[in-house]
Amino acid sequence: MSEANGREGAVDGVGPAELEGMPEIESPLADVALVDLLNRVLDRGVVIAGDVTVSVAGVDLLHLDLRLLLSSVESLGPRGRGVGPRGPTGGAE
Amino acid sequence: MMGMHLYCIVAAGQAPSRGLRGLDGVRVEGVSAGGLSVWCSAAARRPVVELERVRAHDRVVRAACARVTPLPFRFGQWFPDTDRLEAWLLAGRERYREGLATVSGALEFALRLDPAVAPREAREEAVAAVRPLGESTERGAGSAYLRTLARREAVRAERDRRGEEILSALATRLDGLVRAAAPDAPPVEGSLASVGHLVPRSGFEPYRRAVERFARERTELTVRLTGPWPPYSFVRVPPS
Repeated sequence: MSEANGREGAVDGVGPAELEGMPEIESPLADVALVDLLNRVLDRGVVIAGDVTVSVAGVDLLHLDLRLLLSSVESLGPRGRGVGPRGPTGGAE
Repeated sequence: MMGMHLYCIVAAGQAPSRGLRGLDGVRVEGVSAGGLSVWCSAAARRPVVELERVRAHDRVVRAACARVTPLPFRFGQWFPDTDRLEAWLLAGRERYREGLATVSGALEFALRLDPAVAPREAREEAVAAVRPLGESTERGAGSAYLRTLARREAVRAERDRRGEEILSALATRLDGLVRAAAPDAPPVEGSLASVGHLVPRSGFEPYRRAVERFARERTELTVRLTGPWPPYSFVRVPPS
C-alpha cells in the first residue's frame, strides 16, 4: 500500500491512485507481521457465522482456542497441511 | 449453484479489477444489493484454513484498499449461493453503511509494545516487587505450589498494570492523530500491550513520527509497528 495525498472527490475522499507513496511498514521480525496477519484475518472482520470450528483428519475440535490455532498455523508454513473450518455456531463480533 | 467465499464489503460501483484472483486462483467478482457490493469468489464449500489461503484473502482485501476502505470479512465467511448473499446484504445494508462510514478514508496500524529487557529479567523484577508469602517456616509441595501461583499472578498483574500505563501514555501522545483505538485484551503473548489504530490515510506521517518519538522516549520498551492493514479490528457490525 502507499501513501494518500488527500485528494477529495472519491468514495471516501481517496481517489484510485491515492495510495501512491504510502510506505508499507514491515517489522524487522517476520513473525510479528505473521501474527498480526493471522490475528486479524482469522479473528476479526465481519462475520456471518460465529466461532471458527475446525477439524483435523475428520475429527471435530469444537471451539478451538484461536491462540492455539495461531501457534499451529505459524508452524505449518506455506506448504503445511491445513485444518478445516466447519459450519456456524453463533457468536458475536 | 456455486457457493461464494467473501472478502469485503464496499459501496456499490466499486468493482474488483478483472484480473484479480482470490483463494485457489479463482476470479474475484462483485455481488451487489442495497447500494453495497460484496467482493467474493466462487467456492464449492467453506474454505479450509491454510496459510496461503489466509494470505490470498488478505491480498484481495488489500486490493480493495488501494481504492477505498472496505469492511473486511473474517476469513471463512461463505454463502451457499448468491441469492442468499444478496438477501443478507440487503437486510443489513444500514449496518454496513454505518460500518463503511466508520472506516472511510482510514487504515489500520498495529503496535506491539514489549519490554526491552529479557523476559527472565522482567520476571525477576516483578517477583522482587511482590512481598513474600507467609512465613519462612512454610513447608510442603502445596505451599510451594501456592507460592508459584502467587508469583505468576503477580507477574501477570504487573504486566497488566504496565500495559495500561503504556496504552494511556500512548493515547495521550497520539491524541488527534488516530480516529479510533482497539487494544488487544489480553495483549499478544509476551507483549505488555498491543493495539490497533485507525489512522486517516492523509495522517499517516504525523502518526508514524509520533510513534517514533514515543519509542525514543520509552527506552524500556521495544515498539513494533506494522501496517497499513485493512481495518479488520474496526468492523463494528454485529453478526446477523
